Amino acid sequence: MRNILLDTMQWFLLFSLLVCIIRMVTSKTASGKLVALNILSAVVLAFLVVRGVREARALYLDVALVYDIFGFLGFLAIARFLKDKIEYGSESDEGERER
Amino acid sequence: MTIILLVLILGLGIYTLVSKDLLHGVIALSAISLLSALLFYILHAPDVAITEAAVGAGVSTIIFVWIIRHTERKDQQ
Amino acid sequence: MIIREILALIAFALAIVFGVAGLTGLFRFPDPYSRLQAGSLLGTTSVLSIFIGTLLLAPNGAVAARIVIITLFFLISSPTGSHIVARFAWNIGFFPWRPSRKKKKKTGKKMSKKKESP
Repeated sequence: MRNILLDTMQWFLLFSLLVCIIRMVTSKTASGKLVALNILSAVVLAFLVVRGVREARALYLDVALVYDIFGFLGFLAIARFLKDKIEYGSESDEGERER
Repeated sequence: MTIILLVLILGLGIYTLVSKDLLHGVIALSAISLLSALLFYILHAPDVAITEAAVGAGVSTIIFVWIIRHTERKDQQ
Repeated sequence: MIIREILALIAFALAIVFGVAGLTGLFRFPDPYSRLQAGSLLGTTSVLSIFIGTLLLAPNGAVAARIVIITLFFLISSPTGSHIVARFAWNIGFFPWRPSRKKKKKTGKKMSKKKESP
């Protein structure tokens, strides 16, 4: 019962991971990609935790914690770069609305 | 399970090459390092996954973004 | 033991429901802001209920303590990420999507009335 539950959750998270990556590739503007990146790190974190509980070893969950911290750090770097880019005048493709 | 992740990493790699805007490439690169950390995790190598997560998602993304900040954002073919 | 598994089942079912809703919202919404809401629905709510489900299923104390720490840090990092994206999209000059009423008024007068009546 417990293992079946955790395995189905892993497959569901893998499916939503696939959908997030499709969303990231198809979106034109950078803000759409940042949204997809934010969700991608959340889904991967959930996948790590589910699999860590499935293997029931404490070391596996340290990976999830480190992963969350550095994923957030990288996301901040990208977002902060884009904020500076606006002061110098944003690119043309940024301003148009995504249809 | 690993096959799907490998195909995803391959797809993102091809997208990084194709994309004109460098920033979209950097975002795809960050996603690739996220997925490769997951791949190491699935293959029962938690310590390698920790270092890959720390280096890939953290440091290399910051370095790429820093480079783009000082150079051109669109690459002229 | 059985009660914890049933509660975890409920939590995971909730996560799947929110996940599917978030995924469909992610594709259908026309605007970065509404897409952000659907995304954070998927990225925060369903992941949080997954954490609660795994907390119930945690075999020993060490795993449960780590899950609590991860949940706390995740609750800090994910909403701030969404906030940063929204502020960045606003600074760039994206205007929130507004349904365009004017075009329908001229052509679909009767049709729009029919829509409101039932």
